Amino acid sequence: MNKKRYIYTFIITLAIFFFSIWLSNGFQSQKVQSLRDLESRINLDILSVETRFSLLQKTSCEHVVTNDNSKTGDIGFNEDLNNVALKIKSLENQLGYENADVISLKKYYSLLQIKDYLLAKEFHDRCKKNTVSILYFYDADCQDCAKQSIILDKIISDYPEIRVYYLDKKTNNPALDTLSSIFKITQSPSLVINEKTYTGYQDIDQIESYIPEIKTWKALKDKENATSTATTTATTSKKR
Amino acid sequence: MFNSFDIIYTSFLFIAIYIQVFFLIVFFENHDEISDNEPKDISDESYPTVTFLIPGWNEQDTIVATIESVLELDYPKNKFHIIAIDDGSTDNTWERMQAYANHDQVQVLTKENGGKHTALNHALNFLKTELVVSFDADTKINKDAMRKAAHYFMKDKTLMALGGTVLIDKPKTIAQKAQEIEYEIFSFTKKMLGLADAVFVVPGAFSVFRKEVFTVVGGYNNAHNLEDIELTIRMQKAGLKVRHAHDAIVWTKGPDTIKKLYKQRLRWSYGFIMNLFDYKAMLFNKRYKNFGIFTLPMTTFTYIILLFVFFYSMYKVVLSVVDTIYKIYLVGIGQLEWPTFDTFFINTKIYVIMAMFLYISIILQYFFGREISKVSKKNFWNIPYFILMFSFLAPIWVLKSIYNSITKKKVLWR
Repeated sequence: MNKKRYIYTFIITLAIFFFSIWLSNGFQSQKVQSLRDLESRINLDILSVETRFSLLQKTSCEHVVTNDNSKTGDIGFNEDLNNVALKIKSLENQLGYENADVISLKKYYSLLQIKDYLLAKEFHDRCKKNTVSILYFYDADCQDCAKQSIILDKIISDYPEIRVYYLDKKTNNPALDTLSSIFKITQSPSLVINEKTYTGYQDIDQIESYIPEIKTWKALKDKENATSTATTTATTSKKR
Repeated sequence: MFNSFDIIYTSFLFIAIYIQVFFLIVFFENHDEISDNEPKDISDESYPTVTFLIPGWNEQDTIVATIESVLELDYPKNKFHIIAIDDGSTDNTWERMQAYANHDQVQVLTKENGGKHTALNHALNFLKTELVVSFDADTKINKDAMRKAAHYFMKDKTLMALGGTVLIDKPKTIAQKAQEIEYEIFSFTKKMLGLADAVFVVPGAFSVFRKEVFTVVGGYNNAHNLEDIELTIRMQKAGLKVRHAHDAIVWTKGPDTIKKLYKQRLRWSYGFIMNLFDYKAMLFNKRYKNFGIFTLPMTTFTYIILLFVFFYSMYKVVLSVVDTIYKIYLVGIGQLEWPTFDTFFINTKIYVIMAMFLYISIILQYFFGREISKVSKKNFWNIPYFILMFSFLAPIWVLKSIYNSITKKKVLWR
């Protein structure tokens, strides 16, 4: 029996094993770094908008649109921040909740969210724009939070004018604690809509009732749909 | 970060990679033996005498083609014979066999139905040649296969048994295409096991024995309908030298429907488990050298890891289905959109990387198997069928065979 062969095989397999660990760690660090870069870029964008706001004496709102996401004539960091949120979640699954990098990335993300919220608020006040902000305070292990997240996702996709800020109460973040105490947040989930606090799980009908603007948007949308169908029937009848 | 699942999965993958590396090491150590070293200028006279045993039960459609294929062998005509045994067929197998009754190279026997092992044992009584070949009634043999096989015995007087290479002949259905790839991989792994003195099975479809084998270990047993594996186990237990011929090739059609394939593999699986139980003393037993230390544990392990991966994948699928149903219940369907693909989200945990190595090594085995058995027909587009078969069908027959073996045990004890 060729004992040596078994030993060589073990050594080579061990080498493959360590190589895999090394590769895996390499990929993880790369991911963490790319996420950090993404967050820095967002921060830079936010900083630039804030500076322009400070520079402008009057309400020159048309000059402040930064992204292509200007359907509603709005400042759009939303997509980028959502992208960051998804990536953080993925890293959390791979590296674990307690991982130092994940925790610091989440802190940074929380801060960016709050900055975005303040910016959107100022934009709303100064430029009388149509944005509605929802602050959503949650906990990783609370029962109703999973349900609440799903409802909020639906709201975002139905009404792009609504911005939802996902704030994880467990992140060790003084700014977040301040925000919590301002709105008197006691349990998860909690929503703050148009500066009013709603504690506990809210279903889709309840949320729609808190936002009167939704009625106007719905009416507008229905009008749009009506006119577009009218034009199509007009064109088709013309073709005949 | 490292939960118990991660650790188990990683350990299993470590063992699986160990097995693949073992094969690859054997391959590189023996590259010379595998490449062509055809002996030149051997007189026909020096070739050993051979008898082909072809047992058949209800093989009327293929028995004639099989016998013709063997008769067409490029081997000295006075040196090989056929004994065809009808095992109490209820169709025209015996009639078809009898057409050869007066052929000087063929002897035909008939008996009451008793199972393949009884047919073979019956024929062994009439054995007069040095070598004996176990051959299936639905198999075609390459013209040079017997010569190539004989060379192994002529070069090495201590060689007692030789397994041949089985490949799939002109696959038409999905099941056959999947098997085509599988058998090409087997060609590699079986050869490596042969070189490592660790042969798992000399296949009943085509294997060559010195007649002394049956004197030493006895004839065939029923062995839970897997007589070729059980005979090999007994040979390994007796310390006989068993090898594999990568260049002696036969062709079989293989089960054509998925249902038939499932039944065949269920029989193999169940047979293996029951035989393993019978011979469990050999597992990890140093006394039985490579067969005990490597071969038996390795085969057992492939069953275990197959089940593990299957259960884990099912668990993930069920979780995500439940998740989606819950979402639809809460908010209705409109939500479904394709997420944009970002390389960021590819799972790069350690077991994913190791699994990559495993898949690469299996693909390598496919290419090496084709190389050593000189298969030129291009068929890598059949690989997806092979992957599908092993990911979904195999776990089912393994589970059912385990269930069968447990319940059968219960029956025996009563």
